[in-house]
Amino acid sequence: MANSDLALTGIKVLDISRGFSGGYCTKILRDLGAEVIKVEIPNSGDTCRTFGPFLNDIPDIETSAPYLYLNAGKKSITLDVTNPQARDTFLALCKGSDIIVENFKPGFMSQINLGYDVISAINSKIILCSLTYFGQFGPYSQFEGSDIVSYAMSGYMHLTGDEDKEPLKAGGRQAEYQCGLAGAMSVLAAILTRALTGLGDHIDVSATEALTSTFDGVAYFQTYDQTGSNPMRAGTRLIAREPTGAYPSTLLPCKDGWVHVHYSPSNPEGIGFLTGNDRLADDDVMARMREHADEIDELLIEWLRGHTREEVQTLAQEVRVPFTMVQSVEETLSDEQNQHRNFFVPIEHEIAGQMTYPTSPFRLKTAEWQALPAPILGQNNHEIYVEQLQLDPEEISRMKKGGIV
Amino acid sequence: MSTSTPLTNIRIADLTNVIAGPVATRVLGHLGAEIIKVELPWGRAIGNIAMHGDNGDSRAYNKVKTFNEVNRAKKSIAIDLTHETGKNLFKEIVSVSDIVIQNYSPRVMGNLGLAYENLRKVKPDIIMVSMPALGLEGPWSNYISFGPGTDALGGLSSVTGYKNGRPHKPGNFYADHNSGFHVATGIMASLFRKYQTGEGQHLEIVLREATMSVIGEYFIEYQFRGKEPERLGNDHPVFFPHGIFACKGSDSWIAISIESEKEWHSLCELIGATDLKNDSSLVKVDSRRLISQKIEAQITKWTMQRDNKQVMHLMQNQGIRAGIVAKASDLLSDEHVAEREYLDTVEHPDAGTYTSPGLPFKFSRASTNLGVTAPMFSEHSLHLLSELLAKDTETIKSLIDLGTTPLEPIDRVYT
Repeated sequence: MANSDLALTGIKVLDISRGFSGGYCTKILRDLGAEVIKVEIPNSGDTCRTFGPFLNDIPDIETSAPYLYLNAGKKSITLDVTNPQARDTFLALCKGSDIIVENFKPGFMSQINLGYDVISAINSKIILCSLTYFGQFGPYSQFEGSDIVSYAMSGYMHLTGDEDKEPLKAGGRQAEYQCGLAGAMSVLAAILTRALTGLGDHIDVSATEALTSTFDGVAYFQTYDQTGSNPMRAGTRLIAREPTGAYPSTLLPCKDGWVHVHYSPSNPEGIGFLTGNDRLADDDVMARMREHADEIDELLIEWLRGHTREEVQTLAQEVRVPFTMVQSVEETLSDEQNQHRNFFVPIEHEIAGQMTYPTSPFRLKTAEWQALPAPILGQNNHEIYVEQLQLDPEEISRMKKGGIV
Repeated sequence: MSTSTPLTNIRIADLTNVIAGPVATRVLGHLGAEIIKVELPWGRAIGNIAMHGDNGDSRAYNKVKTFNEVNRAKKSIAIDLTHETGKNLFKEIVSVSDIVIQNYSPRVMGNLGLAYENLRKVKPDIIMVSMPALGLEGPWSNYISFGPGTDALGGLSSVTGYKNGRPHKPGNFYADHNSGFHVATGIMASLFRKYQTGEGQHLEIVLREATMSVIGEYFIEYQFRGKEPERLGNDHPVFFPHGIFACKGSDSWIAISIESEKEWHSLCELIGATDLKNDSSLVKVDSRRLISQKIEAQITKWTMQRDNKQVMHLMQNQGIRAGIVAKASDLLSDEHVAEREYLDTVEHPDAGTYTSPGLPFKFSRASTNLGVTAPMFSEHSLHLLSELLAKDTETIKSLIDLGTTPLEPIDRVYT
C-alpha cells in the first residue's frame, strides 16, 4: 500500500512549536500522511528533548521519551526563527508550506515581524495554527501558563479526585495533548475551507478551552444553572448525576487489582444476573440507582473479591455487562487485543535503540502507518536547505557559525 | 472577513448514541456540515433518560440534558432500522450523504444489513465511520465498554491518582471526548482525501487507541525503566513547587508551577519567604525537594489568607505560572471566557436556555455554526422526508402510521 493512499499526502507542515501541544498536533498530521518538518533551536532543539525520562536515566536530547514518541516519522532542521538573520530562510520555507504550527506566547510572532499578515503576504494559502494556554486575545492571554495551570483553569481539575481530598490532575499532560488535538482538528477544517476558497487562515487554539470542551454532555453548566451549586468531583463516579441516575460507573477493587464497573442501559438486569445478587436487580434499587451507590458498591465488592480482573472482565462480558480491567502500562503494552491490532510496533532509533511505540488512532484501511523513528536534531538540514531550498553550502556554514542553523 | 464554513455542502447520516459519537458530529455540525441524526423510534439513548430520570415531565425525552448538549447543530429524524421500510429509508438518506457514522458494537451494522459493503452499493464514494470501544476485530472486539472503561483498559486510570493511592478516574467522560475529537479530525482528513481521489473509505477509530495516544510517552518510559510509572498526584517529575494550594474559602484552590530560577525567586519574594529566597542552595530543585513540606507550608500559609482569584492575579503580575482551580460558577462569570465568547448559550423550545462548551478553536476567516440548539425528537422528519427524499404526502403518512418514522417516541416492542 502506497504512501499516496494517506489522507494528507503532499501536505507540508512546518512545526516551529516546542513541547507537547505542538508535538501532538503535528504527530496527528504526520500520522495522516503530511510531511512534518520540525524547525528546532540550533544545538539544544525542541524543549521537549529536555523532558525525561531518558534512556538509562541520562539526559540526552536524542533519548527523551516524550520527544521520541511525539516526533516519530517527522523531519528535523535547525533554525533560530527568532534571529533576524534567519528571516529569509524561514520565509522561503513558509513559501513552500501549507501549514505552520507555533506555540509562542500570543503576540511574539508579530514582535519578531513574522505575524500572520507577514506570512500570508508571502503565501496566501498558508494555515497558521497558534497553540497557547489561554488563546490569542482576552484578559488572560499574556498569563504565564503550564499544563497544570490550564488544567486547573479549565474546570477539569475541580472534577477529578475524591470529594474529601484536594482536586487531582489526570496522568500525563492532558491540557497540552487536548490543545494539540484541537489544533489538528482545526487545521483539518482549515484545509477543507481552503479547498473551497483557496485561502488560508490563522487559527487560535486555547489549551484551557480545549479541556473545558471535554465537559460537553456532562450537564456541567446546566447543573449549576438549575441547582445554584457547582458540580462536585465524585471520586471515580460520574459527576452531576441525579438520585435516579444510572449506576454503577466506578472503579472497584477485586481479587488482584481494580476493575471499572459500568451499568448497561440495554441490559439493566445484567449486573444482578452476573453476581447472582437479587438486590442488584431489585426494583427499589433500580429506580434510584445513584442514590443507592454506596450499597451497590458494597454488594459488588463482595462479588468482585472472589475474582481476578481477568475473570471479572470475561464473566461480565459474556453476559453483556460492560466491566473492564484496570490495566497497568506494562499490561496495556502487551494485552491480546493490542497485539492482535498491532497497536504497538517496534521502531529502531539510531541512538535510543529498538523500542515498541504506540502507533496511532488514525491507521487507515487504505494505508499502513509508517513506523519511522524520531529525527536526530538537524538530521534533515542538508535535504531541506541544500536539496530543496538550494541554499549555497557556504551560506549554510556561515549561518551555522552564527548559531542560526 | 468571513467566508464559508469549512463543511459547507457536506451531509452526514449520524447513527451515534451516548457521548463519543455525538461529540464528533457536534463539532462537525458547528463546522457547517448538515448532520442528520437518525434516532431510535423508542426515544433517546435510553441510557441518558435513565441517567437523568424522567421525573414525570411531559416530553421528558426532549429535556435530556446530556443529549441536548452533545447534539447541538443537528437535525433529527426517527427511523426504525429493524424493519425493511426503515432500512430502505436509511439507505435513501445514505445515497444523498457524504458520510455515515455509527458507534454501535461491532456486530450491529452487519446484523442490520447496513455494513460498509452494503452502504457502498448505495453510495460508492461513501465515507463510513465506525468507532468501536476496542476494535472491529480481535479477541476483545465484542466486549462492550463506555469511555471510562477504556480509560481503565488503556492505562490512563493506572497513571492517574494521588501519590501512593489507588488508580483513579480522570474527569468525567474524558475518553469519550478525546475519541470524539480524534474522530472529527479523522473524518475531515477522509473528506480531504475524497476531494483529491474521489474515493470514500471505511474509517475505524477505536476509543481505547485514542486514549493510549494521549499517554504515549508512558509506554516508552516503561521500556526505559523496566518498571511501572508511579502515580504522581499533582506533582511534576521535574519541577517543584508544582501542584495546588488551598486558598481562603471552602474548596478553593490555586494551581502553581515553578519552572525557572526567576520564577522561584519571584514566588519567594511575593509570599515574603526571605529565608527561602536567600538560601542559594534552593536554586536547585533537588534541594527544594529535601524541604518540600516546609516550602509547601509557607506557600499555603500565604495563599490561605487570600481569595484564589486574588492569588492568581498577584502571582501572574510577578510572572508566576498560576491559575485558579475553576468551578462552573467561576467559568460562567469569568471575564476571559466572556471576552472570548467561548461558551455556547442556546434556547431550546422544551428545555429552555442552557449553556455548554463551545469550540476549542477560532478561525480568522472561516465561519462556524455556533449558538444552535439540539433538535427535538423527530423534529425534522417531515421536512427531510418531503424536501431531502422528495416523498409525497401519502407516503409520509404511511411511514408515520407504520411506526417507521414516528413523530413522538413509541413504546419499545420486544419481539
